[in-house]
Amino acid sequence: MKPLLEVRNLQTHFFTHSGVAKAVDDVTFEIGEGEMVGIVGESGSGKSVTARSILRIIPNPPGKIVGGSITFDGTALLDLSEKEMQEVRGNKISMIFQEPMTALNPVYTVGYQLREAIQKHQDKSKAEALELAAEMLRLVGIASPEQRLNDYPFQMSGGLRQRVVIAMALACRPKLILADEPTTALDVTIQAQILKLIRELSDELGTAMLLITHDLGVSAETVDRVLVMYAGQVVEEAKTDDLFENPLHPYTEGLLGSIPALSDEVTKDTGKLTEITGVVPDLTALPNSCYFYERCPKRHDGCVGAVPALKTLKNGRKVRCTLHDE
Amino acid sequence: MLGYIINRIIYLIPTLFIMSLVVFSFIALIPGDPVDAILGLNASEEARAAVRAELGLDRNILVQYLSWAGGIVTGDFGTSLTSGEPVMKLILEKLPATLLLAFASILISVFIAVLAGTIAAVNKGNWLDIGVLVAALAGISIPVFWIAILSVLLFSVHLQILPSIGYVSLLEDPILALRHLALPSICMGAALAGGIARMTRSEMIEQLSKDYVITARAKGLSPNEVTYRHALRNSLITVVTFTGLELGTILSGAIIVETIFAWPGLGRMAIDAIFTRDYPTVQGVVLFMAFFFVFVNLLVDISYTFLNPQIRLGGKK
Amino acid sequence: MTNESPLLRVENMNKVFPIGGGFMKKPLELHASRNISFTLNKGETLGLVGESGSGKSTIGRCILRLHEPTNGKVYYEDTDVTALAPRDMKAMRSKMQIIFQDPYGSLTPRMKIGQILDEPLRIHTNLSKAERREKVLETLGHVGMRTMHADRFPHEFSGGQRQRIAIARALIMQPNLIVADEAVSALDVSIQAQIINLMVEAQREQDLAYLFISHDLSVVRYMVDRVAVLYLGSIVELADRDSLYNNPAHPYTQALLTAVPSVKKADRQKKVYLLGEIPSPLNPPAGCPFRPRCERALAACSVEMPELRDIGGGHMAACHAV
Repeated sequence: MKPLLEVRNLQTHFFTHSGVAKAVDDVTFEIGEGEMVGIVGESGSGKSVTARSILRIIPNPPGKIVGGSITFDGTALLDLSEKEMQEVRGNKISMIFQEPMTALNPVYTVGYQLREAIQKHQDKSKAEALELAAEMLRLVGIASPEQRLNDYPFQMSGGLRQRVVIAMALACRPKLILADEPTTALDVTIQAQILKLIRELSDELGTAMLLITHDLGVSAETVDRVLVMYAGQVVEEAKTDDLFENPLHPYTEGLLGSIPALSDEVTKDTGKLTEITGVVPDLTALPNSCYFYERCPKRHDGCVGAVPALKTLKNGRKVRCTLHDE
Repeated sequence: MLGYIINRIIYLIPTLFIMSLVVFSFIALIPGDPVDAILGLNASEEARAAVRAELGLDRNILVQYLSWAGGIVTGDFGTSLTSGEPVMKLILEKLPATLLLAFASILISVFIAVLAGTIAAVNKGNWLDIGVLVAALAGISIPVFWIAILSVLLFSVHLQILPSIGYVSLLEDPILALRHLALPSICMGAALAGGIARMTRSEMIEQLSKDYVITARAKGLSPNEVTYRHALRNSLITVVTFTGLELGTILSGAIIVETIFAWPGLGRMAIDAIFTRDYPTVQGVVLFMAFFFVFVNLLVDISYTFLNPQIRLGGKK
Repeated sequence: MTNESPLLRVENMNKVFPIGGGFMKKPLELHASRNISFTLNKGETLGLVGESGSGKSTIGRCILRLHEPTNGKVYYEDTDVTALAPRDMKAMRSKMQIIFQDPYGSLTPRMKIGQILDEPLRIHTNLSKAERREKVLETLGHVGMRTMHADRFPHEFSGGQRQRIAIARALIMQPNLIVADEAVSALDVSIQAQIINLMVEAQREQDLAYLFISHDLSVVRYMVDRVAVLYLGSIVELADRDSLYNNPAHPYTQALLTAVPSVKKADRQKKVYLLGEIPSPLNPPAGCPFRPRCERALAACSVEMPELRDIGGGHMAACHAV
C-alpha cells in the first residue's frame, strides 16, 4: 500500500551569521494512512524543523529546504506554489503546536478563529461555518460549545485552549496531523486527557499523525512506530514496543537510561542515573563521523571517517550505527 | 467596559484641574508686566493703577486664579486685550481651521505610516525596510519649518501644482480646499508619521514572531491575511497608544505650520496674541489646547476597549 | 531518620496574593498556600509535587521569605525565620539557598561567572580576594565546570551548564538547605540526568537538605526521601517515598500517578481520568478543593475541608473518604 506521506532525504538548513546550521540532515521516513508515528529527540535534534518543513512554514530567511523530497498523497509538496501549499495547510495536513497559551490570537474569539479555518478551505456560509465550529468543539469534548464560540482565548485554561487548537486542526478533516509537543506545556493530568482525546479522534476519523515529543513515555503510550532523531538525523526507527524494550542505537539506550521510571528499582539510594556525557554537536560544524561519536560509550575507530548511513535491518528496524551493520 | 470608561472620565477631573494650575502659573510667571504692554513704559501711576484694577491684577494671586478658573468652568475664558472680544468666541472662530488641519494630518500620517511600518516589518532587512526607516528618520529629525520650505519650493514654486499659502473652507470649494490643505497637513504630519512608522515596524516584528502567527500560517492563510488580519490587529494596541501620546507633536507643529502657510487657526492666533502680549488670549488658547489633548487621550483610552477584548470583558472569567 | 530536631519546620503557613484592584476597587484574594505544615530533617530530601495552582513554588519562596508569608511560622533550627529583622534574615540567607527553573533567567547577564559566584562570599564572609577566588574555582570544579569558565559570561553557556553554575552559586556558601524550584524541568533529558546526579552527590558530601519542587513524578521519586502532594494550595498527602508511590491514599495522588506516561509496559496502570479542569485558585470550591473532580466524593466533602491526618505509619492524607 502506498504510504500517505513519504519523506526522502530531507535537508533543511539555516543560514545564519555564524554559519550554516544543518537542522535537518538527511531525514527519511514514511507514514501510512491512519498510522500514528512518533519522532523523539532532544533540543537541536531537528524534530520540529522536520514537521515544519513538511508544511513548508520554515521562516525564510534564515531557513531553507535545500534537498530531498516530500510526497503527500501522491503530490510532491516541494514542487507546489505558495498558493497551492496554502490549500494543503489546515486542510489536508494540519499542525498543532506546543504552547496552547499563545497558539491562538488573543483579539479574536474562538468562534472567529475556527470559522476562519473552515471558510478558508470549504465553501460554507458564516452560519454554516459556525455550526461546524460548534460541532468540532463538541467533538473535542468541550461543554456548551455554542457559548464557547463567543469566548476569547484568555477566558480559557490551557487544556481547553489545546482542545480548541485540536478542533481547529481537525475542522477540515485532514488526512494527516503534525503534532509538535502538543502536551508538553500541560499539567500531567490534563496531558493524559488530551492524549486520550488525540488517540480516540485519530481512530474515529482515520487521521494519520506525526507526534513529536521529547517525552519518551508519551511516545511509548501513544504511537505505533517511533523515530529517534539526533543532530538532524534519524538514528533509529522501530515499532514502539521493540524500540523501548530493546533499543539498538547507543543514544537511544542512553536516553532510556537517563529517565527514572516509576517502577524502577533505581532511586538515588541505589544508584546513579545513566548519564550521556558531553553536549549535542554544533550544527554548523558537524564532524565527518557519526555525530554521536564524542558522547558514545560504545564508540570505536570504525565510527570515524564517514557519516554512517541509516540501514534497514532484516527485521525491518532501522538504525544508523556501525555496531549494527549486517 | 462602562466601568472602565467611567473610571477614565473620573481620572480626567484631577488632570484638568492640575492643568489649569500649570497654565495659569506659567503665564503668571512670564517676566514683564502686562500693564506695561498695554500702556507703554511712560504711563502715569494712576493710569497704571486703574488698568491694574480693571484687569483684576491688584488682587491676591490665588483670588486671580480662582476667578479665572471659575470663569473657565462656565465657559468664560476671559476677554482679549487686543480685540476686546471674549476669548472663547475667538477660539470657536478659529477652531474649525485648526481641526481640519489636525484631522487631515493625523489621517494621512497614520494611514501612510502604519502601512509603511507594516511593509518594513514584513520585508525586514532588505531595501524596502531600510527605505522606510530612512524616510521615518527624516520625518522625525528634519524640523517642520524646513520640510515646509522644501515642500513649498518643490510643489508650489517648481512644479506649481499646489498653492503655498491660504485657506479655503471645505464648504465653499472642496477641491480647492483640499489643494490648500495638502502641503500644511503633510508638513505637520511628517514627524508623527515617522514616529508611527517606526513604532508599527518594531511592534509588527515582535507580533510576527509570535505563536499565533505560525498557527495562522499552518491553517493555510495567505501571508497577507496573516500579516494584516492577525499580526497588525494585535499591533494596533501599542500603535494607538503611541499615536495618542504623540498627538502633542501635532499640536505643537500647528503653531509653526499655521504661521508659515498663513492658515487662520488657533496656532496663529496664539502667536499673534503672544506678540501683542494679549495674556488672556494666550492663557485661553493654551488651556483649550491642553484640554483638547486630554480629551483626545480619553478617546484613545476608550478605543482600547474595542481593540483589546481583555479590557472590554474585565479579565479572566 | 535522625532523632535531632528537624532542620526546617513549617507550621500553618498561608500565603495570600492580592490580585487586581485599583481606585475604589477591592482586590481579589488568591489563596496560593493554605495551612501548610511539614518538617524537613538535615540531609533529607522532601519533594513537593503538584500541578498548576498547587502553590508548590510559593511554599519554596515563602520559606526563604522571597515572598512574605501572610501568616504561620517557619522555623529553621528553632529560629523563627518569619519574625527575623532584615539584618538577621540576611545572615540566615547563607544557610538557605535556592535554585530556579529557568537557567536562562537566573544568572545576571552582565556579570562574569566568577563575579556571580564571588558575590555571596563577599557579602557574607571576611575572606580575602585571593581566598574567595580559590573558593570560587573550587566550587566550579565541584559542579563539573572548568577554571577558565570563571571569566566568561552566562550567555556563552548552554542551559545545562548554566544550571550547574546556579547550583555552584547555591553551594558556595555551604548552606544546609537548598530549595530546588523545578531545577531540572527546563533541561533536556540527558542533561537532566547529569544535573540530578550532581545534586545527589552534593547532598551526600555536604549533608544537604533539599526541598525538591517539581511536577515530574518520576524524577521526584528518584530524588526524594519523603514527598508531599499539593492540590490548589493545600497538602493532600504526605508520606515516605515508597509509601506514597506504592500505596497512594488520596484520590488525587492515585489519579496523578496513573497519568504519568511510561516507557515500560509494566509500569502502565489503568489511567484514572479526572473530570474537568483544575479550578482557579481565585475561586476554589467549598469544602475539599478536589471534590468536583473526585469520583469518591461524599456528602461531607462539599462542606468541610479535610484535615491532614495520619492514616497509619506516618502516612498523612487529607481526605474524608480514606
